[in-house]
Amino acid sequence: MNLVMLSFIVMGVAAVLLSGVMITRRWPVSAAMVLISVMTLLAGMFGLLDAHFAAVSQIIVYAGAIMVVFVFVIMLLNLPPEELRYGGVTVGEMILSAAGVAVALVLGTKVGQGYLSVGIEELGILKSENSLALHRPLFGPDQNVKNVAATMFVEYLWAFELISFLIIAAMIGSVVIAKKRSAENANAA
Amino acid sequence: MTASINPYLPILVAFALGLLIAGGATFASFLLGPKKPNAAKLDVYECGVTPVGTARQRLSVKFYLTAILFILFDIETIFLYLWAVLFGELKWFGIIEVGLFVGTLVVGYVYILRRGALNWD
Amino acid sequence: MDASTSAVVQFLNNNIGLVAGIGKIAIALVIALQVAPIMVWVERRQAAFIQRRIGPNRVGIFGFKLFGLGQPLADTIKLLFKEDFVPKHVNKFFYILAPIIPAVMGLVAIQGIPLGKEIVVAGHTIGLQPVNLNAGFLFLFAMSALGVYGVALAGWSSNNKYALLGGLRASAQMISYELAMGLALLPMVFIYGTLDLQTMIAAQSETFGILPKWGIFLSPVSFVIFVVTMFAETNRLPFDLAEGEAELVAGFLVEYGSMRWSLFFLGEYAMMFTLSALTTCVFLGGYEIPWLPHAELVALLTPVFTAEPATWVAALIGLGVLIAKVAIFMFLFVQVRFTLPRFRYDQLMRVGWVYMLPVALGNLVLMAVIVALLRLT
Repeated sequence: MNLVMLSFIVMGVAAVLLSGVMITRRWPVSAAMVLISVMTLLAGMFGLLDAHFAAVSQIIVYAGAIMVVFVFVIMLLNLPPEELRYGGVTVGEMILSAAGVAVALVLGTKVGQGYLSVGIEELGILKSENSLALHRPLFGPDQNVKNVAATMFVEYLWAFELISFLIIAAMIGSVVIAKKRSAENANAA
Repeated sequence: MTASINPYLPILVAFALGLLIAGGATFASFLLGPKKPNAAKLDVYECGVTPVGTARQRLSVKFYLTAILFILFDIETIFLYLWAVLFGELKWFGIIEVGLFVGTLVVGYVYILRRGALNWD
Repeated sequence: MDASTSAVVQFLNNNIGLVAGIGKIAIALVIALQVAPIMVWVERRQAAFIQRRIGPNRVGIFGFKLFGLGQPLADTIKLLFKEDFVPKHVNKFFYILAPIIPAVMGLVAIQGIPLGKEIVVAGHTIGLQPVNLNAGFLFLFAMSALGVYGVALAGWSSNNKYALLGGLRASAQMISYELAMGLALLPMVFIYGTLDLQTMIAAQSETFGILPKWGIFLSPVSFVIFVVTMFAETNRLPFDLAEGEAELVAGFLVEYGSMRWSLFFLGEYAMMFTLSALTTCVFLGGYEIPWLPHAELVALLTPVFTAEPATWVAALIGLGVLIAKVAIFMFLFVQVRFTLPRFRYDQLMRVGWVYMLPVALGNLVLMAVIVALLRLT
């Protein structure tokens, strides 16, 4: 057992234990901070597996951006644990959530099966004797970032373009929710 | 001959050393410093005025909006880094592809700008 | 004696990667830890010159004054012996944790900076970048992104209105400018075709005409945006709204004292050094002397020293050049702090989102088209 394997196992065990700690925290801020450390550990594990881009984006996007929103919302609301109550879920909400999960599962599986993927020969991009479809990875194992890029920008071209619509929907949604009150005020005035 | 080890081990070592230094400095100051607490020293410092209410109040939703818009543009930036690395191989195809992607997001940006979501009033 | 020496040599030969790795980390850590004390002294001296005062020029060691260079040492000792109190209204765990986060992130982030090209020891080539990932300088961004939590937690755990507002403002500002910062460096990635700082520095050792082929000449707009966002990321004036003394007493720092307080500054100065070094590597040719690529420098030194020591001397010169270039930015940080007034918070967010972001995006599109036209036709 070498040093890399040992650190991988230690980090994995620590991540699982910390996840357990996270769901038992009373204060939301504590839970969020533990979740951040779990994500950092996951990034380290990706890194030890030579998935450099996944490691870095795990920290930049998950630990560094998404968790910032969690922490901000927790701090903005400032609810003590006594006031955190779980409201009942209506039947409509349950049906909608189930439908959402189903759509996500179907789409995820389809994309995973190559539903939206494009053959490299079709587009004539990255033409070489060892094309992506035949030989993976295209750029050699030490070029992880380039391999991820080749997969995303050629094979999953349509999925990538669809992400921009997802992002724009999220933008509009968040602005509409956050600006609701001030728009009503402006109409009243 | 190039001497090399897994590039993540140095990060782990640096992390451990950093924790040791920062934690050690805190602990050393805890050991070495005098301990003369008094009520005024341990109280909330708000310019010497007796604090009114608690700090646990609700704050402006604008911070939330900033954070969520940051996520969305951050995801865009990290995708663009992938494209930039493969710029030479993807050529004009990549530029058009990313141009469409960025173009869609610019529409969203113009929307949030027009809605005044970026005005900090 | 002889047997033990040869055993040590044997061990070094077998584990040269490990030993060199730890050595590089130690060097980078020592640099990062020196930045804060020395810069505090430089800052006070420079402020004194700007304001026509004398500044700290007395403290010396054994009667040697050395322009007051004993001041950093005296400051450190003073901070260690100050009372380490924890106010009773704070959330104790996070109050203690918060200063450690930026300090650790500052000390780890500096590991991604190439301190030199490489040295050759007993036939082994050792690259002088402590952490060299395929994801390149994105590692620095990741570490700087995690630094936000120190500030946010300090504000929240202090349980003080000023601290909470300061912490939230600082974190909102840091994330807002992170976007423009990331977008500003994008053109450099596709100009050099890599995320690796060593490759970027090597590409900058070429020249066109009389100018060295530095990133600053290839994409000047990126350079300007990056330097401005650098000030915002490190919470320095004119972007130090979080600490605005007049309105928020000291923002997220208000309930902190002694060593905890200085850990925030340790992290801040280490991050300033790291970001300046990143700018140097991407825009100003890193550790290389202008017009003199590393290989030529080694070739010049080889007759004077022998082959292997020449690479060591070249590495030392390179480190000196890197620190000299970073020092320019450090002086800029201080000069700006004492000459420009502070922004108002709404202006700050406006500058970030309404000006910096679109300019960075426009620059990106423009550079992409220009580079494509130059290279692909």
